[in-house]
Amino acid sequence: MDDQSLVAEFLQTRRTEVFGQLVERHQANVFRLVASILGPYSDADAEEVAQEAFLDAFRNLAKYRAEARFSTWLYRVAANCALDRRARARFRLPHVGDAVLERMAEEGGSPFEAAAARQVRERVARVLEELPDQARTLLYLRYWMDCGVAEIAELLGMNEGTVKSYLARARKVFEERYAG
Amino acid sequence: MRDELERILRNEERPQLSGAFAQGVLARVSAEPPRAGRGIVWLRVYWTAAAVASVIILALVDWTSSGGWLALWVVLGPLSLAASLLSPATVKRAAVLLLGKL
Repeated sequence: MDDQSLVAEFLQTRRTEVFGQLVERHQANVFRLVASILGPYSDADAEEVAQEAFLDAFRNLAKYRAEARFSTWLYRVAANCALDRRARARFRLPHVGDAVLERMAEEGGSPFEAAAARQVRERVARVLEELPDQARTLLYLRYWMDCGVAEIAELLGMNEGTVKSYLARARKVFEERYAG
Repeated sequence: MRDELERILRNEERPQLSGAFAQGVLARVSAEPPRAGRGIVWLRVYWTAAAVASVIILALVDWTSSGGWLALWVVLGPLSLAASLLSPATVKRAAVLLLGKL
């Protein structure tokens, strides 16, 4: 049964098992998207935000219009939840926290090499966290989550060509800011 | 720097989705209160309208001769406003409590 049919059945019957099938089907992608928006240097819990995204979708499912794919609509809901959480977390803690930086694993080699590597990682983390939301999310999806271009296009509701050009731009912005 | 960025991000620990994720979502979904019925929605519309009307009447009332009305609206106005801001379930509970006391 496709997503659209499951949504129609759920709206008719309000059976949670039917909604559960939609959760099972999309949980991995929603989680990856949410985690990529929050980022590895965020203290927010990706799993909790992903649950909130599904809850939000559950509450607003009646507003879903079948003109777009259900997954596109769901990922938009999830992205909004994660961006909202991130904005609130940034309001409380505007920079990468010391506790998060402390958690970063130490590099091997001599103490000097380890200290230098740690400095690079901290700087990379700070520059990444200061990037615009879209650029940062693209970089995290591509390199941290190891998603392919097609996967990213599906998660962000873009076509593959747009993803490639935005990704190239995001890397350029990162390099400029890192050098600056 | 591009290689460094890729290397650092690929080495970052990736969060894992727990096995109980879907069950957690369904537990939270089951705990959701049922959606407000149309009657409750209209009741809230009425309360909001009453709150607005009470504010207008309070502004226009003849303060010297309408003491009784004024007192009534002073009580009803904030009550209506509060009711319009509360959740339908709370309004319903409060109404049941009030009716029970009368």
